[in-house]
Amino acid sequence: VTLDAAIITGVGFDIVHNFAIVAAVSLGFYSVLAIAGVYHMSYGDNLTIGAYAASIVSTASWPWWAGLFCGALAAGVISIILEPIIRRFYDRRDFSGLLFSWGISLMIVQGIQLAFGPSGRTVDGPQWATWTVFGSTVPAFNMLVTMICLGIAATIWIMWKVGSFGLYLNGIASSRYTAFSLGLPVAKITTIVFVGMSVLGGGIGALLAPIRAVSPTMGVSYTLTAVLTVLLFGSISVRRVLWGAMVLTLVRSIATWSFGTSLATAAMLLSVLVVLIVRKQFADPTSHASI
Amino acid sequence: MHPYRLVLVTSLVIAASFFGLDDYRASNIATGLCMGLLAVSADLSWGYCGVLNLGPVLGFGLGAYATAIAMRSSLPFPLAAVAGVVVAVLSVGILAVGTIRSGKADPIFALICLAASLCCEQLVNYFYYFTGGSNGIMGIKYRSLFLTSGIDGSNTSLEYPLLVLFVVSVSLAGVVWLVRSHLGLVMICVRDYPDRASSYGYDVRRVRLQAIAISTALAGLAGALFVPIQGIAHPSVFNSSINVAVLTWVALGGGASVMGPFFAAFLLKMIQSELGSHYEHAYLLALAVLLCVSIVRYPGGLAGSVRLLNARRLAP
Repeated sequence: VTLDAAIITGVGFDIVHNFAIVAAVSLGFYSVLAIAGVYHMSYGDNLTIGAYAASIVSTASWPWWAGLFCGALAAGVISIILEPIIRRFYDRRDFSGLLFSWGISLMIVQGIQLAFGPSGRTVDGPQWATWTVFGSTVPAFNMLVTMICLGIAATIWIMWKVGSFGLYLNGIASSRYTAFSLGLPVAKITTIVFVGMSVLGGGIGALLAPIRAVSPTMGVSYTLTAVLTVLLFGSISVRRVLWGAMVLTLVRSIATWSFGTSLATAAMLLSVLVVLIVRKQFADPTSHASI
Repeated sequence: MHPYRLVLVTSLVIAASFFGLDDYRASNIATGLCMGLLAVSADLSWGYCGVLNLGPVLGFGLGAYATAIAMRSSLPFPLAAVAGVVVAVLSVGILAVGTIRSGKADPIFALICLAASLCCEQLVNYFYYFTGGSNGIMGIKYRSLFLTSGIDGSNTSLEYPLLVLFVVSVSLAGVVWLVRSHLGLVMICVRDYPDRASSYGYDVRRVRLQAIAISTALAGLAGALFVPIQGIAHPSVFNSSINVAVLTWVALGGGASVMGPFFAAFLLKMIQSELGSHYEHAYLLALAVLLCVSIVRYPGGLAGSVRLLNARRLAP
């Protein structure tokens, strides 16, 4: 009985842990898509930047929370430089913004490879104790990562749902032109969301650095996961993105246990494809009217 | 210059350049030709029909692997190439049928193809019994169809590069014919005015699916031709950096122009081959910069600039 409880607890924590990360990353990606109308394909690279900043801080023997701060700061600074360039593609009904941000992603990946080499880096995390819950051993740091990622996801959800800022966001997501004609500071809010989500992405990357493989291409897989999450149930509300994150996390976990990590991404893609084929209403990135 | 004449002149110049070259450089030119065909295939769906595919190497890689597996089973090259094309078209066709719709173009197909190409990189590692895993399928040799020279009847020095040139030239001429045909004009109409095309009675979704099928067939053919040159089908053919490279070639060469992307791909691939693997990261970084700059500053690419110059020259 103890063994069963331990397995169930371990598996349950694993699912919650992965869900928290996928939800936090996907909601950041979704927010930029909804507000700016651009598939920000270099969003995942904020995590890479954050992770590499944390690795530099770790090499200098600074504490791990300094890496968290520096990771978020580095991603924020780069997004402040990037935002005025990518601004010209906001709400354009073509593929130029998607392609441009994908080019930026490749620039970041290759730039990091040139600077730090193609091999991965290790980052020292805090040497905290492990907790035993129902016979299952859970590292305390992993639990902290889960709590922070869930906190980030909840913050983004509240940002969209509560207060006048949430109303502004929903108004801009519905129509930038109408929001502008009503006197909303559309450009300023878009910049805040773009930079803010990049900062959160950088923070998540720095947070994940001690427990995940840090490599120049780590951000690409997070971008891919966020894209599939947003596509799964349509990019029209925060709730649907959270449902998408839940379903994809379950699919990935089941595929990983059954076939190994190699087939996890393929299983996610297959599930998205099946949902897209079964549901005849496809996600429309430029339609946010039902938020 | 008339497009057919341009294809002919280009083919003759490249054919002449083969003579007097060593095997290595002849292989580089043949590789450049395959990449040129891949760029033209991406341009056909994106430039002419407005259907962006962020994973253009999906058809290329599937064609390469299917051809390699068929050739490993001692199938002659032409049949293996046909198998490669069929596998590529069927696989990408399933993705297209699920994601392509009528109405204005959306990026779902593009994103799904990108995800699929990255998945394929993992899948070929997983199914190592069929695909050779991370080592790929090695030892793929072209066996001469016409000549009997060569120690074991394989890799006769110039026959295969010339065969590649012939197939690529015929394909280019076919694409030129296609884009000037009725279907080509409908594709352009669907790209620019999908609602208007629909009101004229054209099935927009079907036209897009046709464009994707033809484009994928060309990409699969490029992959099939590519395998015997390298002698290996490797998981890196699905790499995301090649996806970016292909779209950069199209963006630089200019969308909706057959020869612009072909020249951009051919020349940039030759430069990459000359630079070698030592400068690979720097080359890819430069490619990404070129992609971003061409999108922002020169959205018409090389072909667009030529058209602009011609328009200025002819203006009264």
